[in-house]
Amino acid sequence: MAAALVVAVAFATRFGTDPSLSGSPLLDQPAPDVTLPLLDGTGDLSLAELEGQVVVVNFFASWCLQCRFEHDDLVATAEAFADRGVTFVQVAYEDDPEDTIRFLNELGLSPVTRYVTDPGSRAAIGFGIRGVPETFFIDPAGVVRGKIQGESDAVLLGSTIDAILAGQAPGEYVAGEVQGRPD
Amino acid sequence: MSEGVRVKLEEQGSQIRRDIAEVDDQARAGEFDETTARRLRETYRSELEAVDAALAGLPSEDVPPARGRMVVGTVILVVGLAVSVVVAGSMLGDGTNRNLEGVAGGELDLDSVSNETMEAVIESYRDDPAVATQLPLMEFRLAERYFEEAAYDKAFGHYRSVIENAESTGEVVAPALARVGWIVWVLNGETDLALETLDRSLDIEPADPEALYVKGQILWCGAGDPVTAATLFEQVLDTSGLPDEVVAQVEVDLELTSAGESCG
Repeated sequence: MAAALVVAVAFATRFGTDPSLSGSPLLDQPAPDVTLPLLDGTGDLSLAELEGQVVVVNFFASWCLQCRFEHDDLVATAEAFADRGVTFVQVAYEDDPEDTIRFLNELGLSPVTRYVTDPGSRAAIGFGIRGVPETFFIDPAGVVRGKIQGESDAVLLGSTIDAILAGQAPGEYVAGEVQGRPD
Repeated sequence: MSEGVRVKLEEQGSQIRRDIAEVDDQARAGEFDETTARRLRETYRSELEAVDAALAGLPSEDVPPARGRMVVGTVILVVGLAVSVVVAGSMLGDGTNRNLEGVAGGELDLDSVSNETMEAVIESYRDDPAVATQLPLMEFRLAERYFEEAAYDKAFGHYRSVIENAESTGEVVAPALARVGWIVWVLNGETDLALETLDRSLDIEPADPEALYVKGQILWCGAGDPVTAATLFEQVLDTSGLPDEVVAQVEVDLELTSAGESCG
């Protein structure tokens, strides 16, 4: 009981209760139905085909410093949860595919993560992102239940996924600033 | 796997279930009060969990009756003697430029997170010097979870990692070695390696009842030395605060080894 109370207090103070924050209008709404090209050029990925799983959609870019910092945590968390019906999708935001590939090769790809591009920023517009990194959590019914704005880490990622797997709706957590593409 | 071992464990489980039912009947008949009944049910359920864990953890190849017997005995003991390693304060330390505020102001309540989250945190922070001294505690905690779930291959990997981590203290290395010794004996039958591992554990914590008991079992059932085993079981019983079911198990083993009985 004490453990549950700690978690409840933690989430209450961290997620979506600060009125000064402009919370994402996407929370508790169906995720945008987007189909995006796989970075390796082997086809497309539709978010709809992942229904039934928890889907973590992370927007990133090779020019984003915080994206570089959170990369290892995304990889570790994706692999840790791979057998729990959780799929990570990383969307390259306003990035040259060659730069994206170079970035991922440098930092290491996760074998269980789906890497996609976003031509025309359709997904970015659909998810309403303000910059990168931003991470969205979609429950098995296709509803957006969580969001992390800014640099995430394994604690945040894992605990958010745990909450969604438990049927909860963690809401939005502002971890830090997001970065727009430099001119 | 020896059919005899499985049958024996299943019989034990059936008996425990009958005992639980009998407690309910006796409580209804007013033979003892509800507090006593509750305590008895908890004791029996704890034993049942140990037997179920032992059944789940038996390897697929034939297990000699001696090691099968040890599975039951030591699972009861290790469950009863769960090493409490308190991950005090902030798991994710100060002085780092990572985004580590995380949950509840920097403290991570490990009881509230999944094995997967712990796996992810351990993996992603493995090379972070800011949390180097705290990571072994978390990794040991995860290993203990896997051990209690009878996921011995996962537990083994994390115990080894704790043992090999230069930042680990004796507080976690000693019990990790004891667990590894148990695993390599029960699952792989490696007597010498298991004894060596237990000795390393006892070098750090000479009075650790779990390490003493497991070594005693290995000496008795693996090396055929009930005399030395008996001295270790006596040392275990010198430990204060042992759960009743553990004392009962060790007393039985002491009686048998003192009489020079062979294991199994």
